[in-house]
Amino acid sequence: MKTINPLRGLLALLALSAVSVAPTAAPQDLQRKYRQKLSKDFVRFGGWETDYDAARARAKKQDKVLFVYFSRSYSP
Amino acid sequence: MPFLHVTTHIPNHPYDDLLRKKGGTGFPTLMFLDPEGNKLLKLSGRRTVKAFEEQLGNTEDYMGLVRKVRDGDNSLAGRLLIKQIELDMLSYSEVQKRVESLNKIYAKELKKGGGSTMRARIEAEKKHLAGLLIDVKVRSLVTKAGRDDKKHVDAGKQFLEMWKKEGRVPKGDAERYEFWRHIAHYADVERDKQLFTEVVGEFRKSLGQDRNYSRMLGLLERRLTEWDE
Repeated sequence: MKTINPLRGLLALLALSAVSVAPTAAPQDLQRKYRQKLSKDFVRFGGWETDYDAARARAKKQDKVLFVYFSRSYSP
Repeated sequence: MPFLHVTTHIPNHPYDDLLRKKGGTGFPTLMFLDPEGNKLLKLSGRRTVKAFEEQLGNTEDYMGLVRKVRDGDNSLAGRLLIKQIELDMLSYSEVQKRVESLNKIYAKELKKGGGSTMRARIEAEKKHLAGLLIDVKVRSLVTKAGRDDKKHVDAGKQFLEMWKKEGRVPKGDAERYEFWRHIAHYADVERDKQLFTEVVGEFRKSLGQDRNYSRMLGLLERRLTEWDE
């Protein structure tokens, strides 16, 4: 029967625990970053629609294409 | 119509995976979507006003076609379908259905009469579409195969039949790359050295001058020498 190398087992365990204790952003923190993004001047004064459903509805009504700027708020 | 999409990583945030669904991978990504949300064009190249205006122009030309066909101008139906295939907006089965509908439109147009210009346009569009269908089929089979090697081998077998029995080869570079690569893989699995040699020759002939494909060509040629050893 094949036995697991004890050193490899220890390294695997260390790697797993490193992943599990790595800090993940809390939802409140992510919400705060999202609100900060939406409060930037280019968003507030740039005429951007930020709701996808609303954007499509308006584009359909006006028979226009959507120009989409994909950005993120969780990271700089 | 300007739409800002923000990926947030907030759990259950609506449409947080929209960029991934539209085939984007990095930030920022700029794109045109039609009002249904179908991708029309991902902006690429230099981010200048001139480049933007040109790409906006292409998008508006496409939407102009859509409006005219929607308003009843069937003479543009073929051009619209060709454009949608080039924009990779349709699956293989959708393209097949649309070609069927288009053939009925062509039949009606020809029945009404019309001069040689119309006949020439219809013939040219049919020929163009026949060529594009092969590219769509190749893309579709490769995408559907995913990570399943058996499906990739099966795709290679189907491409081999398209080539040998039907004399059909895709037109686009990316599609030809997948086409020859898959047939080579099939030949390798079947241990068919003669076929493998032939395919490497075709790959070299059609894509050998393009640096983007030199790595794969090198791999194929190395595999060939391994067989000779």
